[in-house]
Amino acid sequence: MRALCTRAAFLIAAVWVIVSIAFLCVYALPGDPARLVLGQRATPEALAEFRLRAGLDEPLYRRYVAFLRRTAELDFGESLVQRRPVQDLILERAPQTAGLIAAAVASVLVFSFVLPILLRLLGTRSGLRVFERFWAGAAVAPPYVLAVVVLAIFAGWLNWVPAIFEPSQLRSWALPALVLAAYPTAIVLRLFHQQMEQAFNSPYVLRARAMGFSERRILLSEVLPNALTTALAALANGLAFFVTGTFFVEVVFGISGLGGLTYDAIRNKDIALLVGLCIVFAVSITAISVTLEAALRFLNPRLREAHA
Amino acid sequence: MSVRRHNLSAPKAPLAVTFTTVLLLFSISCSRPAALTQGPSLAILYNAEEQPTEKSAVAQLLQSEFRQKGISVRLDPVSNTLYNERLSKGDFEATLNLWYLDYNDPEGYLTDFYSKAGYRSAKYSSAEYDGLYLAGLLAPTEADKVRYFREAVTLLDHEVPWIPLYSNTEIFLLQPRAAGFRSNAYQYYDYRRVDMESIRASSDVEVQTLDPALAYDLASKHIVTQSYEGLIALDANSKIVPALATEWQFSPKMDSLTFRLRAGVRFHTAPFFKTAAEREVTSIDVKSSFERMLKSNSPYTYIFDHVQGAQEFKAGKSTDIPGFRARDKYTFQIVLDRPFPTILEWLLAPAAYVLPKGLPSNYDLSRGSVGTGPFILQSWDGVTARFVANPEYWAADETGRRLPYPKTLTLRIIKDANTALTGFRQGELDVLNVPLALFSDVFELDGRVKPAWHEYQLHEVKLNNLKFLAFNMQKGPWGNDLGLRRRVDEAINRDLLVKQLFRGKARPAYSVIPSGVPGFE
Repeated sequence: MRALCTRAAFLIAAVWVIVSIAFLCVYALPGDPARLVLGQRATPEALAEFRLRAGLDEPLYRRYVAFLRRTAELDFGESLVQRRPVQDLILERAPQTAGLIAAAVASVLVFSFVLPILLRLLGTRSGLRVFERFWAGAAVAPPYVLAVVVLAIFAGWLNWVPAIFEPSQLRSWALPALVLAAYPTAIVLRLFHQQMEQAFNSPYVLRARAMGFSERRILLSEVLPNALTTALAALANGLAFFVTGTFFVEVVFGISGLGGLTYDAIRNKDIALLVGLCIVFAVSITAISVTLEAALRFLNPRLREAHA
Repeated sequence: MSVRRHNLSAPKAPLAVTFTTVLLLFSISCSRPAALTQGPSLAILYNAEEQPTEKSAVAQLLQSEFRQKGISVRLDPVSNTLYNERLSKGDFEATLNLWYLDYNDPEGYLTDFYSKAGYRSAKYSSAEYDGLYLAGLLAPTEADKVRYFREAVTLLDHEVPWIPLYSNTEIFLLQPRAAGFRSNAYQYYDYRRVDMESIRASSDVEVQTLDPALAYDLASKHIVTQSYEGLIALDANSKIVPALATEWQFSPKMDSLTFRLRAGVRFHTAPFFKTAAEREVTSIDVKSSFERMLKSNSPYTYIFDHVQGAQEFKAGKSTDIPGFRARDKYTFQIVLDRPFPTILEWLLAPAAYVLPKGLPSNYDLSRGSVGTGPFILQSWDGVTARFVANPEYWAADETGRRLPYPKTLTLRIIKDANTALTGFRQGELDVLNVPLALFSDVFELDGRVKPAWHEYQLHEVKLNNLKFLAFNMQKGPWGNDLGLRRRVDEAINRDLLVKQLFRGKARPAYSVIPSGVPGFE
């Protein structure tokens, strides 16, 4: 119980720190968004009025205090450039990013755990090695390059999937999810494979074999609980990658998500929008990783004892 | 007015264009021995997030040409917001910039040089120029306007605050059935006559707003012009034609303009209409739309500067503009505080489009459009705009068939040029706007279409936009020394630029007003 309270306090502190850093970074970005919003014929008076209303000329500490107060009230303000409430913009874009990340995480789970276990059950060790090399190869390319290449192959050449993203078509999600999943899959798969082989060579598996357990039962009840935890923990730690990965994946595939929105907000120095996005990202990443950690603790009794 | 903000279309300059540029630069540097640099070096600032492929290719080409003539150049690409900041502070020597308008009036190209204007990319100021500019702007007749503006242009040609480079040609590839697509020199895209059940097209930059009063970037304009309309419009030949107004007339002294509205035009349905009668467009709606635009912080509030009472209204001293008169249900009059014929062209801007009087101030226009245009916006998710045909749209074609032909229209933001190209080839897009980044895929070096594209229709439109190099006239040595600026001007080979870089799909520009603008052909 105490551990949970400490955890919650840590979580709040972490969100506060992240949000403050986000605010300072955006504040320090060079450039003036007023002209961008008001256009080339804007008069100096119109520009001054815009800066006043957006609070662009206030000193740093006053803006920070005002910002903290509004954030505590869950009021993220209005986007400077699009002139719509930040909440609306984020809610409008969140579903597709959530879908993309969910599809990518599901792909990682399938490619890093489900398929290797099946391959192992079938007893094809070399198949598993080739599979691992394949993903290691795919992960070498930066996400942007990978996206362009798979699009050219699967949409342009083979014509298996549409080139232009259409959220209502399930097929459209395949390529973006795979591109986003490539790098984490390579890492998690390799780790899991290693852990699995290590477990197979451990004394407790030797004991199980001596007791005459089937290979299948050994894999499921002896090897997996030990091999899974480390790889799952690696996946949980890598969650932030999925968020940053969406930036380019969404831009290349034309997905209406938070990644693309962030990308535009940075370029336009859209302070309110950027800070709102940072808060959403910070809160969701910490929340998910805490949940995953709790799940891991449930899976692995040793972790429970260590923290009690 | 409004300068096109064509933002990052692809995170990297496409390889083919970069490669062509490098080859080009290489061949130039081989053909002639480099002259020794003489005199001061020139720093060229540009926005590397706005049409990045085109800007960097042009900048590099200029750099190499100038080097041949002994002028050393340093390129200074910066981000979007930083560019705006440095430009307004005057922290630059010269800048590569672009200018495009929403209406066919020469004044828009000249405002940048007026010493009291808001933007002033060249920081130019000259009492003589101001006199000519104002005389043209406030001229009582079109003929006088053109005469003063021509004199102003001559003055600029002499002093070289800008070096005009070229005007773009917009290229579209169309699926054979999409041949009815039209667009004009001011980039109004018309899908009404495309004879397809559903039509899909794309834009390559993000949309800033769905509110016509605020729309000044090209992507926003593309979307709002499908659902909203003004009193008048520009047709495919960039001529003014009737829209919500069927006829209009200036008073003999050119100090008031009266519109006769089309009867029976209805706004798209929306929850805030209480009765069916409220949906009909009347002169009250026009008046309230114009006042709404002035109240918003729109980039276009200047278009009503000479309307009686507009200044007081803008300053918050009055709640009504007497210069906007709803004389009867279908008669709307604009009363000006002086003879001002240019007001007609300025009314073409999307900021002067008509919305219903009863529109609540906090209404979210992304939930659905409330205009009178041919297509009704059904949904918008930040990337995709889905429209259905407006069954009550007023216009019909020459044979009496009702417009628009398509039942649905889908406009998508696709930032990556290669994705759009692949999608078009797979038949997922019906209209493809071909940016410079794709020229090497579509055109041979001499500008002919590559055989792979012969099955598609090619639609080419000469734009009345301008790409130019502006000097900071308040900063030495380039700003003070006419001889230096002339040397730069003479160092540019515009034909080479148009031929080699654009494969002939652009027009060399020699004047600050593009050659397609009325009175300056």
